[in-house]
Amino acid sequence: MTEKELICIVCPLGCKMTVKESSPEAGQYKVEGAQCARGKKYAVEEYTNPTRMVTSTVAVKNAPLPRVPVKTARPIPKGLVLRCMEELNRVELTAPVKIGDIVIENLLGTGVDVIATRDLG
Amino acid sequence: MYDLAIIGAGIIGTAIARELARYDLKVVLLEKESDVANGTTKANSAIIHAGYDPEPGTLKARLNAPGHLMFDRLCQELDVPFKRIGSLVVAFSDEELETLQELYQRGQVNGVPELEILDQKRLRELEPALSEEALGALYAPTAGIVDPYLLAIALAENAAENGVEVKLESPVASIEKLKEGYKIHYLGGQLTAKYVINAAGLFADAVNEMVSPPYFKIIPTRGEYYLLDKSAGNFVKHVVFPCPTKLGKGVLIAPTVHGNLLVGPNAEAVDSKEAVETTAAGLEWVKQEAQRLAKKVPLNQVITSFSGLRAKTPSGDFIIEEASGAPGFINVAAIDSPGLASSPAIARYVVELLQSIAGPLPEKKNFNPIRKAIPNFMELPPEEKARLIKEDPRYGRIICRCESITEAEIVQAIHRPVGARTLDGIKKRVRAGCGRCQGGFCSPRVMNIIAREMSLPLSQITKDGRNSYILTVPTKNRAEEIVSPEPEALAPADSPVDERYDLVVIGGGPAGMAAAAAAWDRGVKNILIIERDKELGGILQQCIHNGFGLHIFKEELTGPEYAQRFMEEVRKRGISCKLDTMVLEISPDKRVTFINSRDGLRTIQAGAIILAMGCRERTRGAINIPGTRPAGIFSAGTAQRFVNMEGYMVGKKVVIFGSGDIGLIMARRMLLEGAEVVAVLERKSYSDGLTRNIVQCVQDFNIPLLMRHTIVDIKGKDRVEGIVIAQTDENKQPIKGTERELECDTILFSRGLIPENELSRGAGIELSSTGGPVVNESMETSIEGIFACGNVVHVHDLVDWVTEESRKAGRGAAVYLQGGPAEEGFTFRTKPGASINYIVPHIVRTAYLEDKLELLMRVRGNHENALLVIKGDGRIIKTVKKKRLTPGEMLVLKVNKEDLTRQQFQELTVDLEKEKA
Repeated sequence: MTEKELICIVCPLGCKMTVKESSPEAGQYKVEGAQCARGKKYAVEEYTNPTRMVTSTVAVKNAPLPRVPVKTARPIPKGLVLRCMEELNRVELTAPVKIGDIVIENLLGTGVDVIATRDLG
Repeated sequence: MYDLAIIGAGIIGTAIARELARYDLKVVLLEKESDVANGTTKANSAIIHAGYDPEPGTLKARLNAPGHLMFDRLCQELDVPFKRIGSLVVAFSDEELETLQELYQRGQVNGVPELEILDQKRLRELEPALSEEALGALYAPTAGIVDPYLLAIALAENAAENGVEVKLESPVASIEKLKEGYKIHYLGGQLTAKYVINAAGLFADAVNEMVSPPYFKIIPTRGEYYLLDKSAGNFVKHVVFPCPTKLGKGVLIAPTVHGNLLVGPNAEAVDSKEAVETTAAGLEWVKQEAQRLAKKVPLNQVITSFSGLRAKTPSGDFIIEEASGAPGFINVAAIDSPGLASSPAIARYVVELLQSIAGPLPEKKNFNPIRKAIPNFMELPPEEKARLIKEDPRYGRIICRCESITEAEIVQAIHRPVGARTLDGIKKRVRAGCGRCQGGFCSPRVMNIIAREMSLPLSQITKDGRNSYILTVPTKNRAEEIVSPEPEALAPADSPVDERYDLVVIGGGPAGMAAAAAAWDRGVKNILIIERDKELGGILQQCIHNGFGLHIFKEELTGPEYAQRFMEEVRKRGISCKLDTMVLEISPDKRVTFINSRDGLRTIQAGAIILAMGCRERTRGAINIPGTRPAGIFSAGTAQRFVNMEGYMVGKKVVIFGSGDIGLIMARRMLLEGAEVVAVLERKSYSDGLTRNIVQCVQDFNIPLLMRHTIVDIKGKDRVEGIVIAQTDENKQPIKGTERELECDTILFSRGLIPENELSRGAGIELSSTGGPVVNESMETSIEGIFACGNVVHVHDLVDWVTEESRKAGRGAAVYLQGGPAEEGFTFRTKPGASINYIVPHIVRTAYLEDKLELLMRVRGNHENALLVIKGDGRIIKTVKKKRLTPGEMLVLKVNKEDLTRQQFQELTVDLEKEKA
């Protein structure tokens, strides 16, 4: 039986949690130390398929600022974070940009879009 | 061929250049640095000594007293601030009292006017802040203070206006003797001159040896100083010295012409002529010596420390003479104290010496001794301010908020003769970046202005020339672009300003926006938000990471998204905003004075005011880290702005000092944008950052997080080259023997935030231990009708708490404007127990509570399974169990109004008790 210690990041409490794989075949996991359901969910996800939001910027032309902030609309697999940064380097938008505008559709085949997080220009 | 070349553009070189500009000569001034006044002139005590100190018979004695009397006219002609505030040499023993007599006698011989020995009583009347052990003093009323680099710049400008050619970044490599005159080889060229004046300061010995046998050696002697905030500028009214010793004049305490307080220097002979670092030991000695003079010298208000090198020789006197075997080559060397005070007399003396060699010099008919300073906008009368803004709207845009320096002043500093090319050049000329935030706010803006005016890309703007680059490359692999030479467009003309508003909100960040919206919803419709940036949103616009809004919106937003939601709230309600507008003053009767480029300087009346100015970052200077002062040292928030908004990287190899949230987030940002993050250092045994940031910003990327480590030295002349770190003990002090070096080119300081309360202080608002105003349950300050919320009151970890607190302030302002509640109640104060750092609010009027009281606080130290006890005059009102408490996380305790008002009391306390097993 494997287990992993985690610090919960769902809320500022930062519970110290342990995930145990109690019955791998059935995908059963036991989470200790979590104080809420969201924490338990996070622990299992972090154990099985850790994901991260990526927040960064992309270049933008004809705008009052040379960069506009963006984010992945949903978390993407942790292993893709650095590749996501490379993808963002390729983008150049032209103002005006609206909050929620899709900057990259279906990033690296994840089904997650990269979207702008502010209006600019 | 030039008639004359001067090597070195410090105070001596520029003074001589300006004096020679009076004559019909072709003169060139060569300077190795990127700016004039960049050596000893930029880091000294800035004192115009009266002249009682030098031994009679020496050149110093001959030139000091006459020189110091020339300053009134000189500074008037050059429009340079100079104040004859007088100096005091203080005696602490009978022996020192005798020394005063000796100095007095010497002063008489040297021709110093108005000297006087003061007894203890007179001394105390003049300087009540001095130590009570002071027995008497030598008073020299004619001593003064000046800004040495401003004076040297003014001299250079006036010299240039009168035909002297100035060549910067032109270090002299060698000098050839010609049949007549000299050929000077310098970096980038060569020139010939009949006469040469060696005013090379620390390097005068080397320059002499290019043409003449060595006969003097300059021993660089380092002096370290503290510079204190303007709030400490009145601590003494005179230049206060201890009795001089063999080592020098000792550690002085003096106001500066700009209203700061200067404390220092020590005197230490060093090996290198570039050893301008500060040291922990040196600064500690300065501190002790200063405390000997005045026990209460407010060293907690230090904004920066620095050091300078003086050009000493063993003989101790100035060397001003023709070099042996080198006709027409004049050494002006070993000009240490009182060199600045003597400088006008030295210049005159050199001209006379030259005339004795070259014969009489023809006078220039059209010499113009008058130089007009760049107007110090803030010191002008209101009508003059209004006129200037009308003439040039850039006077209406404040770029440096600490010193209130306008864009027009900065642009002039660039385009003057011998203009500024660097951040330090701007700082020396117009003081942008000299204030308490040390350029944290204005440096990106100043760089953009320099780049624009010079048609350069941003990465070519340096701190101080040579290799002191500030930015490396654009993010996102973009090619670098030249900043558009078009002047920045003015913000669109917004609504005309009314004379009166029901509510004026100062600051359009999350606090100001939430407060304004809440007041509106309670019926206050006549609101004005004043924001210094070009858009609303405040610091959230650069916080592009997610994690905002979990409490209020129940979702994770990024900073700009959170900001935009509230911008929408403000827009929907039709609340008026003034952007790109700086508030300069608020008065206790709620008048608000602001400035911008459209409306000029305006004062409006507010029914109520909400202060929402936020906070600023603690700087390297304020935490007193010794070492050099190269480029590459940023506060984390400034770096965040460069990377996220300006689109530029600030370095390649980064160390982050401080593991607060901004530090952790910047560690990830820098790494994701391609930099190497060498380590994150934390002095304490725990981080103040949120756990999610430790996990996702540092652990995810295997960035070393070194707990209990501090920086003990910073290395690098132009750009950071490395740091020395050491482990810390339980008092967060470095442990000897644990030092090791880390190589890096960039240091980001994330060492805490300070509520920005200069406006509050100016209005006379009472401040608390958090650095923010004392507030009541409605977030009202000690002045009725002036409210405060957000980081200006206390530093929050989550923006949601800022929003909630600000809504409270907005509602409070509405209730105030509408005449207060009908209900009656009682008033009590809150008091943190030993394990609680602070509680907000400080005062509670129960009648103003709606259904519950929220107490915001931070604990001291980390606690597990803790029991928080809320008591009213000792009676338990409520207890709250908490699994985990850390100082980094704000604690919010809620008490029902019903439970609170059951019994009247005067003091509410909150303290921690370990939960019983």
